Amino acid sequence: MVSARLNGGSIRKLIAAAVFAALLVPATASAQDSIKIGLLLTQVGPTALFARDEARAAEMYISDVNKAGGVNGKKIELINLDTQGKPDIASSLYRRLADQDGVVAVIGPDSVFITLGMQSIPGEVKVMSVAAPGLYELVKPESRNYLVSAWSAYSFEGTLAMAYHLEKFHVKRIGMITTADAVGQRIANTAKTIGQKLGIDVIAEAQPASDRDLLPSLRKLAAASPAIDSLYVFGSGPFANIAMNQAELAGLNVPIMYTGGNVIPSLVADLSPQVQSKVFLTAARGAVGETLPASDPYAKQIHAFDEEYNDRFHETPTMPAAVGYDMAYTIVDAIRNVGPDRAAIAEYIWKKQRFSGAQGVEFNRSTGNGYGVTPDQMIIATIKDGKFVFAGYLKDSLDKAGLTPQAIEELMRQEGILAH
Amino acid sequence: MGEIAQVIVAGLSQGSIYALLGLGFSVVSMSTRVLNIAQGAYSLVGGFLFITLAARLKIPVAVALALCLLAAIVMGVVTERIINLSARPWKPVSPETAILATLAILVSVEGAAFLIWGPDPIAGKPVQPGSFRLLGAIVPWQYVWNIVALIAITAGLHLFLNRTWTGRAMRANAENSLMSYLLGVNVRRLAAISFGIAAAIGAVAGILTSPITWIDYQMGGTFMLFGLLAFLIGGERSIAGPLVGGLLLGMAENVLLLIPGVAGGLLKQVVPMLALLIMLIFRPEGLLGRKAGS
Repeated sequence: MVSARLNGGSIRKLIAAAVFAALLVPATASAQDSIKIGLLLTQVGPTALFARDEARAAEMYISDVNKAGGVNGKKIELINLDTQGKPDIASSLYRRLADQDGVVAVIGPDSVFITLGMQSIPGEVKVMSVAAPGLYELVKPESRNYLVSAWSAYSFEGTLAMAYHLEKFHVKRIGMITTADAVGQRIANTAKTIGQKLGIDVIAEAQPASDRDLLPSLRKLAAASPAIDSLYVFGSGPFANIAMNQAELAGLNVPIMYTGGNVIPSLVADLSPQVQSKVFLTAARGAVGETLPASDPYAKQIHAFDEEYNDRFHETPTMPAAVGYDMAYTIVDAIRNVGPDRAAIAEYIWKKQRFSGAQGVEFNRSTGNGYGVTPDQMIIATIKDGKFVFAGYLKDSLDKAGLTPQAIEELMRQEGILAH
Repeated sequence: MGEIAQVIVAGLSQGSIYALLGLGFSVVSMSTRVLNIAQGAYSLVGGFLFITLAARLKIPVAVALALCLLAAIVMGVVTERIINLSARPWKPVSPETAILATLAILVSVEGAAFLIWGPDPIAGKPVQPGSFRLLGAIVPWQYVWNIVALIAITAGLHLFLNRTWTGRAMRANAENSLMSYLLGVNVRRLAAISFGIAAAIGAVAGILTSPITWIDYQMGGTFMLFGLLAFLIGGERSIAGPLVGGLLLGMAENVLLLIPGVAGGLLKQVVPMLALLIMLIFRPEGLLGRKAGS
C-alpha cells in the first residue's frame, strides 16, 4: 500500500500552483472582456496640441461606448502611447501594439511625417491604422491597404479655396509663400496646377519651415509685377502665423488663404483683427460648429458633439478634436459590425459608405481613395475674434468657377490623391 | 533695389542675433576654454520669461528686463558650478565633460520650458512697434534695436575685457588657469562671472528675437546652433570674431532668398553648414581667429 501522506515540499508546490492559477484566471477573464484599440499620437513637439484634442475626443467617445455597455458586451480598452515625434519609435510602438498588446486597430498616427515614416508597418502586422495625415497621397500605394486617413480637410482641398478667392475677390494672380521642403514644393505645384484650371497665375516663394522672419519673401511677393491679388500661405505652426502677420507689414493688403493644419483657435489668436478679417480658408464644418447655419444638414450632429465636449472639458472643441472623435468612431463602428477581427475591420472600413461623424463630412472610402471625402463637402471659414466662423460653401465657388466634379476628380488623380 | 535692400536689412537684423549668441560662446571660451552648449538655454528662458513678465503679468519693461537678466545670470553661474563641480585650477574640466554637461543642461531646460510654457509658440512684443521704409525695404524698428543692441554689447564687452582688471584676468585665466591661480586670482569667481555675462547676453538675444521669430520650447537648440556657427566661423576667443561670423551668416542666408522661386529657400537651409564646413577645412581657427602656435 502506497502512503498518501504529502511532504512539506509537495505542499509548497501545491500552494504555489494554486496562487498562480488564482492570479492567472482573473487576467485571462479581463482580457477576454475587453477589446483593445491602440491610440498612437504625437504628444510632444509643435503638433502636441493637436494630439491633446484628438486624444480627448477619442477617449470621450470610447468612454460613452463603454458606459452604454461596450460593443457586443465587451468594453473597449484604449492603449495610449506617444510617438515622441519619431517615426522609428512610432514603428516600434505600432508593432508592440499589434504583437504584444493585441489591439484590433489603431487610432493614429496623427502627423504626416510620422505616418510616412512608418507607413509600411500597419500592412506588415495587418492591423488597421485610422490615421490623420493631411497629405495621405504621399503614402505609397502598396502601404495603403491597412492605412486610411480620417482627416477630411486635406491640402488639395485647402488649395481649392482659390475658387472662393476667384469668386469673391476676382483674383487673377496669387502669390504663395510656402516651406522650402518637399511637401511645400508639392503644394506649390498643386497650387499652380489648380491655378491653371481656374485661369489664375500662381507665383511662389519659399523659406525653410524653421524660418521666422519671412519679410524677404513677402516683400518679393509684394513687389511682383503684375501685382498679386491674394496671398496663399502654406505651413504649420509659427511659419504660417508669422507669414500672415507680416504680410501687411510687407505691403500686402490682400485676402489671404492658408492650409497647413492650423485650424485651431489658439494658433490664430495672435493674428491682428485686421489680418483675421482677410483670411478665407477651406475647412470642414467641425471647425466652425457654433456658426454653422441652422439649415446645414450636419448642424445638429456637430452641435451635439460640441455640447458634449464642452460639458466634459469646458472648452469649445477644435477641428483636431472632431478628427479624434471620428478616428475612434470609425474603428468602433467597424467592430460593432464585423467583430474584433483585424482583417474584417480593415475591409469594413475601406468599404463603409456614407460614414459621418463630428467633422461634418461624409466618408466614402474605396480602394484608391483613402480620404473618402470630396472637396465639395468643405466650407469656407474666416476668422473673427480669434475663432473660426462660417463664410460660405466651397461647392458654390467651385460651381461658379466651372470646376465640375469630373474635373476635380481628374485633378485629384493627377495629384495622386485618387489612384488610377 | 527694394528686394536687395530688404535682404540686407533682414540679414543684418538676423545676423545681429546670431552675433549676440556667438558672443556668449566667446566670452565663456575666452576665460575658461569651455564650449558652453547651454548658451541656447539662456536665450530660451530669457525670451519666455520676458514675455511672461512684461506682456502677461504687465510688469514694467525695465523691471522685467532686470529680472530676466538676473535669472539668466543665476542660470549661468549654476551652469559653471555644475560643470566645474570636481574641477580644480590644476585639473580643469575636460572639454568632453563640459560639452556633455552643458548639452544635458540645454535639453533639461527645453524640457522644463515645455512643462512651464507648453508647446505653443508665443510672440514677444517689439521694443518699438512699427516700421519705416529705407531704399524700398520695409524696416521694422525691431531690426534697428537688434543692431543697436549688438553694437552696444560688443562695445561694452570690448571695454570690459581690455580695460578692466577683471576682464584682463579672465583672458589670462583662459591662457593658463594654473598660473592665474598661483598668482592669487580667484579663478572660480572669474569663471562664474564669465558664465553670468554670457548668460545675460544670451537672454538679451532671446528677448530681442521673440517679437520677430516668436519663441517655442524647442528653440534652445536653434539658438545654440546659430550661436556656435557664428562663434566658429568668426573665430574663437575674440569679440570681433562672432560679430563678423554672425553678421556674415545672417547676410549669406538672406541673400540666397534673392534667387527666385523655391530654390532660394531650399539653399538657405544648406548655407550655414556649408559655411562651417568650408571654414573648418580651410581656416579652422575662424575668419578672425589666430592660428595655433602663432
